Amino acid sequence: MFKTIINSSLDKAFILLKDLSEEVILSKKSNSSFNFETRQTSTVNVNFITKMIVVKDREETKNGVKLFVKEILLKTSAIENFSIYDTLTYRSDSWQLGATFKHTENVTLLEIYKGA
Amino acid sequence: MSFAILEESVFSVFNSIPWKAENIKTFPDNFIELNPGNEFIRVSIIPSGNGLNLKSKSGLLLIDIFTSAGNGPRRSTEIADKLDKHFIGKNIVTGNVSLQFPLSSSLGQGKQDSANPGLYRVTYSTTFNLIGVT
Repeated sequence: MFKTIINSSLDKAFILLKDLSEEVILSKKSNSSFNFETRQTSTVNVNFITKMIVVKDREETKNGVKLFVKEILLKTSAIENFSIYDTLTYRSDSWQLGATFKHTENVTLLEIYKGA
Repeated sequence: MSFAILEESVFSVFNSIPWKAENIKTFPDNFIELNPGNEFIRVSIIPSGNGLNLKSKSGLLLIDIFTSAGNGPRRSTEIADKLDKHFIGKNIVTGNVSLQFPLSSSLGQGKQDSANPGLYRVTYSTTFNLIGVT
């Protein structure tokens, strides 16, 4: 019962944040295979729409490669069972999921990144 | 292009009906299988320089064999023997190039996989010469 209340309160909080929370698409690989004849992979993605808050934003250069990195906060239920091989679409750009900094039953703080 | 030709030649073995009949899940390096199970192999091809003559390339075929941890090495060696059957002493011809494997292979020391301790990983390796490419 409390879980439902907390969940709906979180939804409300994300709505009340207005512009600070933005809609993103999480794409989870649900199936993948490799064809040794064509040497191609085929992947089936399942998409989920959720809201997130960008907490920190930075640019960094690693081994001569420029990266855009964001720390984001979103509902744990939205990101459950996702892995670093899944992606997030934010403002039409595809971002890779990175390290998780904080993971609680209700919210998750994690890093997303993309190349420049 | 020779790297792609090499990849095509090695992968042709894994695309063959005899290999498929072995019923061993096979994945290339840098491929993420979502449900690999407790028994599979991962193939890496490492071209490493000149071959026997100017129009050839040599290298190493490394195959990680994954089996259930704690059940001893038997299944890994069975899979290694199956790999031997398909690669050792074979000459695989693709178009104008031929991929030749020697009559020997080796199996490294096995250990629990660092990513999934439920798996035992041992690396099978053999050398090759790709003739007809520069």
